[in-house]
Amino acid sequence: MSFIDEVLTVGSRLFNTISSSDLGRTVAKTVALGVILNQTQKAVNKQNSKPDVANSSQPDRFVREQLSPDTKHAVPVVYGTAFVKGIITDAWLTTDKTTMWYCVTICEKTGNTNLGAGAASVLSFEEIYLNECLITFQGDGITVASITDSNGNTSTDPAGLIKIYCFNNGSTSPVVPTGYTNGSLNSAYALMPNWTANHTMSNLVFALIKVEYSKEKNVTSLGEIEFKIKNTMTQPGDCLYDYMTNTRYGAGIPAAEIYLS
Amino acid sequence: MALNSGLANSRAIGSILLIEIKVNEWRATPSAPYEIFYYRIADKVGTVGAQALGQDFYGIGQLLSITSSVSEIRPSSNEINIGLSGLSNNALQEFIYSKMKGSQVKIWRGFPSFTTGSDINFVVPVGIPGGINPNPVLRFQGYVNNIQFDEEYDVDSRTSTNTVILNCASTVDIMQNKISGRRTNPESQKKYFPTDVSMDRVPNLETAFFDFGAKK
Repeated sequence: MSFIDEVLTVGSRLFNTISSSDLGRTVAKTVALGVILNQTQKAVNKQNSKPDVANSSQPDRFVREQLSPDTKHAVPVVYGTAFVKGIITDAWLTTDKTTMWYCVTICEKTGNTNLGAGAASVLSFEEIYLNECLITFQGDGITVASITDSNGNTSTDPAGLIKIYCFNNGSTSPVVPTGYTNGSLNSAYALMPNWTANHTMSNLVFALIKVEYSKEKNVTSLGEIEFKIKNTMTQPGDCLYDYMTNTRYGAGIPAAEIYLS
Repeated sequence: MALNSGLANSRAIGSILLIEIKVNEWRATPSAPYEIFYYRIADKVGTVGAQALGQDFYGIGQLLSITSSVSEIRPSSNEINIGLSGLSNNALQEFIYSKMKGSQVKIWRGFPSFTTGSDINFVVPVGIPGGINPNPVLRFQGYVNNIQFDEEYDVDSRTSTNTVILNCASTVDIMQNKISGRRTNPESQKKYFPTDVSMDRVPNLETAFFDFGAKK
């Protein structure tokens, strides 16, 4: 029996009971109207509270994502080891709207060691964290296998859905995090949608991150990502010299004006 | 205590300030190509030879003024002004046409010869009390931070003389100021790498939305 049948039944009972005088009819109609409205509300509520097993799946509400790039953000310089969150400098959504690509700029590529006369400094990705959980990669050093929080709890929810491509000196210097090896890495503009050879990301350490949407696995956005970056330039004299002489991120002092010993 | 023979014969010790301004983009006329030019001047009349520097400095006497600088144990930020007075309009032109800002400035204090009073080639050997070595002594090193022109017009002769004031910041000052580095915007990226378009979309992304996961 539907809620409409219930309302009609009650209404007809009441109407048959009161039919003698006009006054009584008016009073009775008012009461009847109130009762009908009450029953209607109850019936509607009852109907709404019924679980509808057949149609229980809610429509998949997509995530309207707004990023937070910053045109005033200064690209940091890392000497030694540091945790850097980076900043998004480009993003693309694929046409099927299920895959997001992010470019996260991390830090500057620094100069040469040994007071500028030695080997080029090398920046490496020691660890990468997603929402404060350490990422473990699959064998390729790119695809996320699992994440582990500070209490040691491991989740494989983002496994296969997130890929992180690391670059330590522009678009043509792909690397994998420390502890992984991969002999077939591509340039950044071969990966990132709509990028060309002019997207050189010159002298920058950065990462391209590919995220595949999955409501079931709760992967619906990039989340908070953090990189542990290690620079082979660690000697204080090297770092000071590099900073003092660099014209891009340092003081730009001519090398001839610095007394070295 | 035995005095050095040179000092024993002297009746007074004077000092001379020597200034060297290295202008990387200097020219005297608006159409001339830029070249590197050194202004070497001293606050004494006549030419001053500085043997240790291997250069002669042109003395302009009282027409040169320099504000005092501080001397501290450790390097500290310092700012001085160099005033050049009595410049004709023609002399002023080269300051206008040249790129003075950013020019390297060095100031020495030298102790002149007892005999000539101008050549700075007298060096008291190290180890003797009161010895001066090296001579001249570097007092300030920095860059031209700003340039200011003052004109004094003589109504009677209808001529004017000019004063140029070079505001100089020490190297320590420059280090404190220049910490901005590269920023994540297209202008900053192209300033260092003109053909790199990696940051071109940053301004647009600030107001963009992505319907991630939406059904087509």
